[in-house]
Amino acid sequence: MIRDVMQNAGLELFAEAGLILFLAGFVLAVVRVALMRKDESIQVGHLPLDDDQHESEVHR
Amino acid sequence: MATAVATGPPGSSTQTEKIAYDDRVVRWFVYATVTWGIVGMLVGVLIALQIAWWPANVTEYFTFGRLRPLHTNAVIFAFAGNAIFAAIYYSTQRLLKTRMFSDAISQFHFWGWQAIIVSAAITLPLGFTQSKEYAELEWPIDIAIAVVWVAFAINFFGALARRREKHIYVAIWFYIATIVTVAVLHIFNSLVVPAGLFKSYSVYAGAQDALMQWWYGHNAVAFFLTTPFLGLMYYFLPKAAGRPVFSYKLSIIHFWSLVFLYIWAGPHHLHYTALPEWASTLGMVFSIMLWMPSWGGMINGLLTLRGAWHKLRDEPVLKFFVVGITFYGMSTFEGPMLSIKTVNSLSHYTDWTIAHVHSGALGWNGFMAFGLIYWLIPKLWKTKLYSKALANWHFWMGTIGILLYVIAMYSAGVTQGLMWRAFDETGRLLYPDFIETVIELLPMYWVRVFGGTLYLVGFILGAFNLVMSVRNAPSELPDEVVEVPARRAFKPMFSFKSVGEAAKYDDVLNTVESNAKGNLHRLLEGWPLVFTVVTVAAILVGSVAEIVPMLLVKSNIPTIASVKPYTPLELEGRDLYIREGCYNCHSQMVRAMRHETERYGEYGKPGEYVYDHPFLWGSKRTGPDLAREGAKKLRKSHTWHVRHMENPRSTSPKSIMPPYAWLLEKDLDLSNTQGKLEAMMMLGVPYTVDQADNAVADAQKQAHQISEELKAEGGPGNLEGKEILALIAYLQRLGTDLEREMQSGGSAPAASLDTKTAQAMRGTP
Repeated sequence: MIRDVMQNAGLELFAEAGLILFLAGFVLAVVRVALMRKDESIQVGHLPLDDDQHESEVHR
Repeated sequence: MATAVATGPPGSSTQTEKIAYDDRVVRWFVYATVTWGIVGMLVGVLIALQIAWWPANVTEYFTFGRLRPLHTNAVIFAFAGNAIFAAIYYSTQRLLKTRMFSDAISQFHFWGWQAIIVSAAITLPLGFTQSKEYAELEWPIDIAIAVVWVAFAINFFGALARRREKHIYVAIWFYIATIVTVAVLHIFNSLVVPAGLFKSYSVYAGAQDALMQWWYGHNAVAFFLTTPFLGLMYYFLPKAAGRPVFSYKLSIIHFWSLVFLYIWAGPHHLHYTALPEWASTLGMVFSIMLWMPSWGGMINGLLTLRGAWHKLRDEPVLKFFVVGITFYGMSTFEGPMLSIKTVNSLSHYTDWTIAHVHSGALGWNGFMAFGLIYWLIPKLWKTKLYSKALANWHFWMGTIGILLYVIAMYSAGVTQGLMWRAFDETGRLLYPDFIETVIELLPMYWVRVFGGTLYLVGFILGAFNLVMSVRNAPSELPDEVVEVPARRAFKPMFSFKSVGEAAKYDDVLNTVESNAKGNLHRLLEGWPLVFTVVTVAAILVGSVAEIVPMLLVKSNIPTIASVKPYTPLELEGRDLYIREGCYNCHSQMVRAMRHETERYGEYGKPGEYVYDHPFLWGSKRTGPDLAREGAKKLRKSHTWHVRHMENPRSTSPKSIMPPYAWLLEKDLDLSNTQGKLEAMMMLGVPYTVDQADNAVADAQKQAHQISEELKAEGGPGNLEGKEILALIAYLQRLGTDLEREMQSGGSAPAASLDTKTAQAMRGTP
């Protein structure tokens, strides 16, 4: 039955649904970026640079 | 091994603790990257030589057909694989401020992965292969890959759960996408029915198998060779440049767009084939859209060096990174361009694709891995790099090597494509003999050998530099210890302090409000599980939208009455074709274009391949297409095939194909023929139980018949029971089903193309 349903559903539906989902996701990502505070993005962007401070050594 | 030590007063907000990172496993992965990289590229140079000079094919175990999968697997999974594991283990610990979840799992991951590589290096030359590109390894090794990958995932997500840094940096997002997507791809593309310890048949057939394979194949490039390297870029490039990433905001858009779009692009590998038109078009559209996020990432990488470009003069690490990212930009421009159907009609099956792949692999993956290793050497071995001059030599030899390689292959690819489609003024093929187009490419193949060798020698210099640096390293290499904020106790998402419905609702609302104070994505980034689920959803949308209709909608694969399952002997011959890796040079898919139908015959229909487990359409034509090899237009005598396999130049002067003389000497093994038919029956191939029971007798009968026909032709009379008979049976069968259908007056459905499009394309030179 599922084959019949799929066959009659029209294949373009899948591509269109995918495109709409992508656009929705993309808009969400853009909104996220637009709302992101500058200090937050600067702080997060510096994470790789801050991760090896105060290092010492320990023997196994 | 864990050395967390609380140093602040309990409960204090300034409480810190000391933790040690596990760098030993990173050092192991670096050694493995270099070792397997040299092995994989050495095999690459050898197979490049085998194309330029066929006598370099020595013994049955080291022919081009068997070594090419070894080369691709070694470079992708051994070289690039170990490089990304080194990068992930090093950066994940530091970005999450925690040691990996389990040292034992780290070791299992390392040794398990190396064991898989060794098993690949043994089984592929022996001819044990599933034949699907970059997924050739047989089912027991596939299971081992799944187990090791799951262990890696546990180690990674365990570390994520125990992290001390609330925010999950963008590099970690790319690693998450890599881990979950590779698992999905590997599992679904590797579904097979075993027909022995080292023999299996794909559960998918023909056009469906092709779609699954290139959904996997393209996304292996995306999620094994791109996303982890982008994660690497977002972590190590700022470290090397001493500057934060140019735009963290851009990296967010880069990530989500890339992850969502990449998964759709696979069908562009199958333009003009028997894949349904809608799938092919969908792949093209999303491939073109993919250009934007790819370039967003490249621009973000290159602009990270703003104000630091002067460092390139003295810093080999940055040189490798910058050229690597530049090649990423070139490849990700070229990829969408090649996915456009009209461009693809020229480039497909030619060496242009090989050039494209190598500008990505040698330029992007190779140079990012080299930059990573040069950056890690002083950190991991507590020593100075042995020689910066040597590193610069490595850089320049590598760069020149890539350029020679890709320019030669671009030239070869365009030449090939144009010669195949050239017509003379009378409307006949200008180069009807395929070998004419091969001979023209030989000088370019030699340039490729030279370019590849230069790249490899540069790499060996790099390995020497690593070894000499390590020799100067202290004998004791302690783990690095850092002081980090103490891990806070797990706070449930919702906590209920009081009893009563109203109080519960208030608590929930307050908690959500408090968690969401930043904003939604910030909240999401704090929940790795939810983040992972959303990432999986993003990759599944494209997968489901392409694969489910392909598998379920019957109109995609119209049946052709004359198409029957292979006889037992033909099936054995097909397995020999797979064992020898013939599909690495010969396609079995005539595209719906006039020059192809003129050269080979009727174009491929999806209904022809319904019993092909796996599909063998191929992706490159170093030799001619064989889909119609047994049909009247191209059919040769049995004797021709025997002579051709014994010495290709005896039938096709100047051929670059290696001889397969052992096929005339080795006895045909029919001990598993019945098992193979039974495995096929499980996949829905309509053999009867009687056919399976009588498989051996039927195969022997057909082999005897071919042997007698050979004698009648005046061919050799001593081939009874030899492998060559099975291969001849298979080759003589190719294309005959469709021919029968057309001779009987049936019109085989085009199916993948509507009639108008098909006619228009067939008329297009």
